Amino acid sequence: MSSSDQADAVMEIKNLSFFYGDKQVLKSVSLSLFGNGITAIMGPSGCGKSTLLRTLNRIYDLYPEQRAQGQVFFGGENILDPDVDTAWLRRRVGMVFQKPTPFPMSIFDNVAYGLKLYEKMPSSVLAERVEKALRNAALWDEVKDQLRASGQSLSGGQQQRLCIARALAVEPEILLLDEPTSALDPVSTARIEDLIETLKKNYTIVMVTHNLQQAARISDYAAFLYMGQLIEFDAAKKLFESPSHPKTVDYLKGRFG
Amino acid sequence: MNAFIRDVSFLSAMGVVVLTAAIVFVLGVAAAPAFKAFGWTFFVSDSWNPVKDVFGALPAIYGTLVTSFLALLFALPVGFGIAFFLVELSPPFLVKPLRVAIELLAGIPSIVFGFWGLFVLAPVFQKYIQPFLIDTLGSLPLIGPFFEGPAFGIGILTAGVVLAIMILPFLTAFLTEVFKTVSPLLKESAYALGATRWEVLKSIVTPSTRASIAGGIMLALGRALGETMAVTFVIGNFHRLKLSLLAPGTSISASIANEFNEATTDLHSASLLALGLILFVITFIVLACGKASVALLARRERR
Repeated sequence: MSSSDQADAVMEIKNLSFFYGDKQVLKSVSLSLFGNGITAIMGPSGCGKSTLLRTLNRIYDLYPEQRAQGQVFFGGENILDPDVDTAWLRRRVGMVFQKPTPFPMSIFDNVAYGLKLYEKMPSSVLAERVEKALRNAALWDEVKDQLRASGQSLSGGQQQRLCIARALAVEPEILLLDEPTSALDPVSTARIEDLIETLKKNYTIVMVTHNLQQAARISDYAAFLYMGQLIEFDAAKKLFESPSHPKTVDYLKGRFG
Repeated sequence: MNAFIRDVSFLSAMGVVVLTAAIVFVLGVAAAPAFKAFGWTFFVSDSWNPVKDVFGALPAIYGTLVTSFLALLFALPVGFGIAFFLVELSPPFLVKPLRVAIELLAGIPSIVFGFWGLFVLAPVFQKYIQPFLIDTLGSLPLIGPFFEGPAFGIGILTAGVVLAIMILPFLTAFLTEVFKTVSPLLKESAYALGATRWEVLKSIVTPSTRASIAGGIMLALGRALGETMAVTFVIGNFHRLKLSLLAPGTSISASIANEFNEATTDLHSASLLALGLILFVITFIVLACGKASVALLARRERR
């Protein structure tokens, strides 16, 4: 990467190592995330790709035996610094998980949940923000007549779009997607992929996937992780068409993972 | 062979039904003279006079319900806190010692709780807690009558606290298992939006497990209602209805345990057995309500 690219990096990961107790799962990973694009993080199971994602919003903080070393710069701060306010961070860095996780409440309240955590607003404004988030997640037309129904009553694909709407409602800058389609059928998967492509205009998207076709279809940048090390990181076109590292070549050819 | 096993298990199953029916029948027959002698006044009268052969169940019913309710009132928030701490907050090295401590608490015999309540807890209540309650809450309108003195040490409130400690291990163990059933991904989704631990407990964990929690509360209440020994030690065994929680009272099981050996007249023992029948009905209603609320909430959660 040339220095001119560095200028619009939204997040910069420097020498990031990660430990589960004594076990090291990330080894000095350095990586820049660029604005308004999709960065795919690929690699075989256990390579540390989910762990990398979970570092970027400090969700690993919930588990005392997990710790990160190194630096991750975002908004002028090293977010690994223990003094960083995780509520501030998580408002700016949203996350969607492997499986849909609708909360035990109505569709409306699911989307309003994050908004209510941060600010008091009149109910009319809240309703507008919820509608906007549901429209952004391409779910509004399907649920506008049943906003009071339980979020858990939706189909799997709808639930996952609800989770995306929930993450979008607080208007984050970065959206972390941890294998967002792994639990969905092909039709729902295609809809989510379309959605992710439209979202990249307004958000910086980081997506973990073990589905190479998916990464090739929609990503602008791609990173290949293997056994906790970053093997290669480049523009997606370059990485898929002419990978420079022999391990990447093997992985893309399906020799492991 | 198959037929043999089938017949034996069928007989065992039927045995339970027959046994229950027989106990209820015998209890009913034995208690009948009391109901016959006093009619409905048995339920609403607070006179209990073996010398004049006049008996009323109200103080015992009131004591049973109030002590059990107080026990839940005290034990529920604490049990919630312990369970949430164990599942969500505790550093790993603390989980095991805490669990062992709770299990040990469950292993303490009821009669030891009674001794402890009488000789340790009651004096503390008499000296510090009850005078404080009388001075502060005792003079308030509406709730004042519940906290009127003098400070006896023993009484309804003390019994409620002892009962709370006794049902705490069960409640904690139950809630811990319930909280563990909430998917980590669901909780992480809330944390990832910036929710705090308290917000996750309030809006994610509790609503996801409402049905199970309701069931656990009813089971705990069932245990508190029937507890005899510890309550007998600290409740005061006083057969007059006093509204004040600080006053001595009695409970159904405490009355039976205290008096059955000394029941001199047939009507006295029939009245005690009638108390037993009432307790059976109360417990049955509580368990039935528990089952019903679990079924209702489970149906609502599925929708």
